[in-house]
Parts: sequence; C-alpha cells; structure tokens
Amino acid sequence: MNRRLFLSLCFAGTAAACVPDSDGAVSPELGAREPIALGTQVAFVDGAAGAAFVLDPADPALRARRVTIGKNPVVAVRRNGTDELLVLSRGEKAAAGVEPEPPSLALVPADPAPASRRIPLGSRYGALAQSEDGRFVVAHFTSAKPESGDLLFNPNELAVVDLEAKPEPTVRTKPIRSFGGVPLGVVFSPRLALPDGPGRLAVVLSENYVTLVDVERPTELREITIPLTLVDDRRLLRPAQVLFDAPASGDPTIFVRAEGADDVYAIRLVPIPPAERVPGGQAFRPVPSQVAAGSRPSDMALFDGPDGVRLLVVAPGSSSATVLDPRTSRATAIPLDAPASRIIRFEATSPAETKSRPRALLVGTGTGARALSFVDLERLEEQRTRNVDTRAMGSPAGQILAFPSRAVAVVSHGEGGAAGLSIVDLANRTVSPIGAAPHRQLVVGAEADRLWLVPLHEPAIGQLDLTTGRPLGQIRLDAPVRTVVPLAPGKDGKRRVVVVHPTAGGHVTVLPADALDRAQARTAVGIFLTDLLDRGGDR
Amino acid sequence: MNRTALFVLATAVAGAPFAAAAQTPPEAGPPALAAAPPAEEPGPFTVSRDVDTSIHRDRGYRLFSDEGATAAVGVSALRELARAGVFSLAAGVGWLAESASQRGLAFDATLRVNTFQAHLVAALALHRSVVPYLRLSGGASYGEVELALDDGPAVDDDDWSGGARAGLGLRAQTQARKLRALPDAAPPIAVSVAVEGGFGWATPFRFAVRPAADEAARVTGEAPLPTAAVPLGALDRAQGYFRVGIGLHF
Repeated sequence: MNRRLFLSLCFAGTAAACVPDSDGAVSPELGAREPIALGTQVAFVDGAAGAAFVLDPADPALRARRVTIGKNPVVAVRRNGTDELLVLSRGEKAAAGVEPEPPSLALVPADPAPASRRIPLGSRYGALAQSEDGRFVVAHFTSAKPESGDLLFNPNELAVVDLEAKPEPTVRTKPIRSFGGVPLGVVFSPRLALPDGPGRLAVVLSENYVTLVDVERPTELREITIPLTLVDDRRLLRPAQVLFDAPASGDPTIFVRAEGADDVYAIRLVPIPPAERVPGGQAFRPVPSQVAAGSRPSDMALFDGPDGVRLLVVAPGSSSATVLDPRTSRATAIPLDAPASRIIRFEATSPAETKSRPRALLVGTGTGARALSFVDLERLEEQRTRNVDTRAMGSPAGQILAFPSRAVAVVSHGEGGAAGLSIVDLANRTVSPIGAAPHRQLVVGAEADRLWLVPLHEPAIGQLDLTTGRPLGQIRLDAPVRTVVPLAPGKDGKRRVVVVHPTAGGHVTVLPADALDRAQARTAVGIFLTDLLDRGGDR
Repeated sequence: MNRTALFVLATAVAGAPFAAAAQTPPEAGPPALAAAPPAEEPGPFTVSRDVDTSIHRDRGYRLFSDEGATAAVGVSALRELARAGVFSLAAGVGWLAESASQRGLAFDATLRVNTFQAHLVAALALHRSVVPYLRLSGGASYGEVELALDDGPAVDDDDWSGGARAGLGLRAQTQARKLRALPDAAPPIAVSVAVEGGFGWATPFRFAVRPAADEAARVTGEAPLPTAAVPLGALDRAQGYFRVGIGLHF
C-alpha cells in the first residue's frame, strides 16, 4: 500500500464528470429509488414509504425484505467496508394528524439475521460523508434554506457518529465556525500521524474556506478554519477535491483544489510545541501555501518524487500537465499532445518494462481531444516528455470509467456514447474501439471484468468482457431499463445482475451474469408492495 | 302465473323491486296496490335487494378505502320452510358484489369481492308489520385485487375465502295484497324494508400479485419472462356489517 492515500470528492453540481467508484456504487438519488449493491444483494430505498427493500436475487421467489428506515430519507449509500445500507432520514415534523419522528441514521444489513439499527440525530441534516473504513459518519447540512421545514437551525452544525463505539454508537453534535458559508461537503482523511498520536480529520468544505475537525474528539478539540482567500479577495472558490499526503512520520499535508482558483492549496499540519498548546486546542497548526497550477485545474493526483511528494495537475485549457513540488513550490510543465482534464493513477507494467510502477492515464473528457496520454510518474520532472506516451482515439472522450486495480478503463465517446466506446488497457497501452448503441448508462461491477450497457431506446441490455473486449451477448427484456446492478457471486457461486425497470412500485429482472438467457431470467413487478396488506396498506 | 314463475320474475327485477308496479302500462290504471283487495298472507317466497356496508378490522383495507369500510350490493332469495305460530324459518341463497377503489401514492388499488351465500332466517312475527329476525349465512367469497402501477403494468391476483355470518335484523313489512293487474291465481304480494347488523368470520384472502402475461408480451412480442409473484399479504375477513334490504314477499 502506498503511504499516500488519494481521496477525491465529486460534488452534486459536477456529478456528470464523476466516475463511479470501482465497487459500482451509484448516486443516492432517492426520489428515483436508485438501487444500491450490498454484496450479493441489492437494496432500494422507498422514500415515500420510509422503508428500504433488500432483495436477494438468489431467492427464487424474489421476495424483498422490508425494513423501516425513517421518514423522508435524503441519502442512502453502502457503508464502506460492509454490506450495510446507510440511510440518513430527516424524520417527520409534528403537524396536525402527523406523528412526529426524529431524524435518524439507519443501518440496514444485507444479512437479515442482525437487526437493523436506527440512531436518532439532533437535527434534520441533508447530507452525509463516511470514513474509508465506514466507522465514522458526519451528517451535515448543505444549505441554509429551511428545506427540512425547521423554523430555526444552524446549517454549520455537524453530527459526528462513531458507528463502532461501544456499547452503542455515539452521536456528537459539533457546530463549526463559519465565514458566511455552509458546508458543501465533507472529506475524511486517512489515519494521520498527528503530534499527539494517530488521528483522523474531517475536512469540511465551504465556499472560500475549509474546516478541520478531529472526528475522534470532535467536541473535546476545537476545529480549525482555514480561509482560501484573503479578506479583500472577491473571488468565489468552491473546494472541489482534497488529497492527503499521510507519511508515516513527518508532517501530514492536505491538498485542496478549488473551482475558481488557479492555485492548489497545500495545508501542512505542523506540530505545536507542548508548551504553546492551549486547552481544547489542536496539537498542530495549519500552514497553508498556494502553488500555481496553471489555469483552472480540473484534477490532481499525488505521487512520490525523488525527494518527497509531488502533485500532478491537469487543466482542460492547457496542453500540458504540471508537476508541483509543494515543498519548494517549483512547477514543471509536462507538454502533452492533447489537453487532459482527468488523471487516472494506477500501478502497472508497461510495454517497455515488466516491473509494475506508478503511472497515470491523462484523459480530456469534454475537451474535444482525440488522444490520451500515458505518463510514467517516476522521474517525471527529469524525463518530462520522455515519460509521456500518447495514444490516439477515434473520437473525443465524453465519459471515462476507470478501474486501476484491473488496469482497465472504458471511454465513452460522444453524447450518450453515440460515437461508441473504447477499452483502454492500462498496462499494454492499447485503445480498442468498441461499437456501441447510444446508451443511457454504462455499468461495471465490483469485479471490473464486465461492462453492462443500457441502451437509450430499447428494453434490453448488453454485456462486454472487459478483459478481451468481446461482446458476451445481449438480452431483450419485458420493460424499459432504468439501470443495471451487477452483484458479487452468491453463496452458490453464481454471479447475478439485477436490472431495474422504471416502474413505480419496483420492477426488477434478475439475470445470471454468465448467461443472458430469457429462460433463466426471473422478473418481479411491485417489489415495494411486498406485505403491503400486512402493514395496513401503509405506503 | 304461478308462484314459481313470479319468483323468477321478481328475482330478475329485484334491482327495482317496485318496478313491476311502476312499469305497469298507463292503461292498466293507477298503482295496483292502492286498489287491491283486502289483506291476505303473502306466499313463502322473498326476494330482496340488499345494500351491505362492511366495517373491517384489518387495516389492510385502508389501501382501498380510507375509512376501512366497503360497500356491497346484491340480491337474496328466501323460501319459507316452516311456520309455527309466530315463528318462521326460511332458507335461501344470495349474492353480494363488493367493490372499493382508491388512489395510492404510485398506483390505483382496486378490490372486488363477490360473495355467494346460503341463508337461514328465523323470524318472530310478534307484530303484523314489524318482524325481528336472526340470519345465519355461510358461503364463499371470490376476491380480486388489482394495483395499476404508475408507468408500469397492472398487477393482480385473486383468491377464495370461506366463512359465515350471523346477524340480527328488523323487518318492516306491508300487508300482502293481491294485485289487480295480475291473474287471480297470482299470490298476494307484500313489500318490506329490513335493517340488519351482525358480524362475519371468514378465512382471509391471501394475495400475491403479478402482471397479466399479455402485458409483457405486448412490449416485446415474445413470451414473457418467468415472473415471481409479489406477496401482498393477507386481508382479514372478520368484519362487522350493516345491511339494508328492500324485499318483495309473495
């Protein structure tokens, strides 16, 4: 494991540019009842019913298990590192004829044996973030508008939930300092070597500033607020990406890229001598610096340089990438044959050497570029263009799905993939064009070995072997397709895919992933209606 | 016209029990009852048009009706089997059609129940015009549920339920008169209005819905995919009821 952990954050406003996680997680768009893969099962959240439905595709009866999660759910995601569903609900305000219900965080395990849990919260938050290991959750507001219906609330209040606290999960409320903004999002750091011991920070992103909160001691220690602009600076900077340099020893550094800024912000956490510490204060102080990164950088990635960490930055308006040494603020331009807006960092062999080394794929999505660049990161500042290998594409990239662990990426060309796909073999540096129908969605499951295509106009799906580029067939279905959820192999060793149709009431078709055969498919219409009469017709 | 023929005729027109009188041609004169001969005893047959309101204990009915009550209309026919003094015993059959429909959050829910019953009615004619009675009924119900999903197919299922009812009622009955418009052999006729309340017990309906097979075939032109039924659960048939009936006795 590299000593640096890379985290990035895509905000709702730029969701179109987001690449789904390699585990196939999807956007928690509750109104649309997006499915969430939980290992071998799939969960749906029915916001109107305040319930989650967990479907085991291996069950021949396709009987969904209904779990109450709280009224008005706003976010549902898989809990990191588990097969649990994490649902943030706003609850119900007291009103005439309405039973009040507190806001809550629900945990619904895919396995029906352990009971689901509901953790009451103090405020009706609208978003959540979780640590990489799924232990900590921060619930927060994203707007000062009273969307939850509360007459008064503090949009800069956080709830820090420790889901593994004993004997019960703890919820600690933390109002944070504000410079007029509200949180745009929260990013968790990996475990950092902080002066008074290893710890984890939540970086709360707001317009023109970020706030550091110790998630293990959120109420004991004061938060640190770091402005990104000077007092007289009228720019509006929206933090968009956060990376952490977390060395085993030495000062950790947080890198922040902000929309609207040409610089990357490096925030080094420097120990405060014990004699200078104040009660309730942190044991470190932030030392921010700005590093020029070209014009409006759109992505950045960390890698090891010969004498410390380096930052690779790309900007769609530039025909070069930039390597930044945060220690000296020295910038080295790496000319590219095509502008890039995304960086896919990976470790793999290359056609020239059999040793696996850190490398990057630079792609210009939405830039009109017809080429992509492979970059060897070792000695990049020294070798410059000699470390860059360009490959042509048939047409510009519209979207990219990257799976570094499998050394493969899929590029969709044109609007809705109208100009086809390309499979990029990161190790062999090949770009293989694949003919594809205009599609609404491309999905790759946790195994990252198969691609599922949901066409725009047909009630059908198609499957492609990502390792060989060979189409594995297609199947017509009985209804239009909304999305596809590939699942992990079940206890019987079979891999299944759940096709979700856009029908109110829940309409799914379960297919064996290895054989797209209508005879082996099963469908169920109205899975959200399961046990509807037994629960008093309550929807 | 003998009594059997009149029984069949009255059953057919039970939806409008006074239709026979109302539809008499103008040349037949004023309503026959008004000018009928002196009172006589009606015959052993009774045909009744019933309106039934069921008050359900099961909250599942709220899917189809906010009040948890459903209405039914039907007909029943009885024949007096025995009479001893003021006591009489009648048996017969009946049919009730119950329907309830309501808009849900993302679907229209409809419940239809057809109930076929055999009745045993014990009456105590303590008064010439007001007759209390006890009704015992047993039979079978055929229930159909349909949920028409928004942006999707309708799913449905049906089930049978067997059960029994017991109720107490009060019948207000006119004196029987011979209709001048009918042949002399025709029996005297009386009309009645009955109100009745009671309780019914029955095995619950269990529904597991799926779309009609032709729905999928309509989309793809192929045989539909194997479809799993979604269990809706059970609908309890223990319910109180209130019945109003208008009867024709002959």
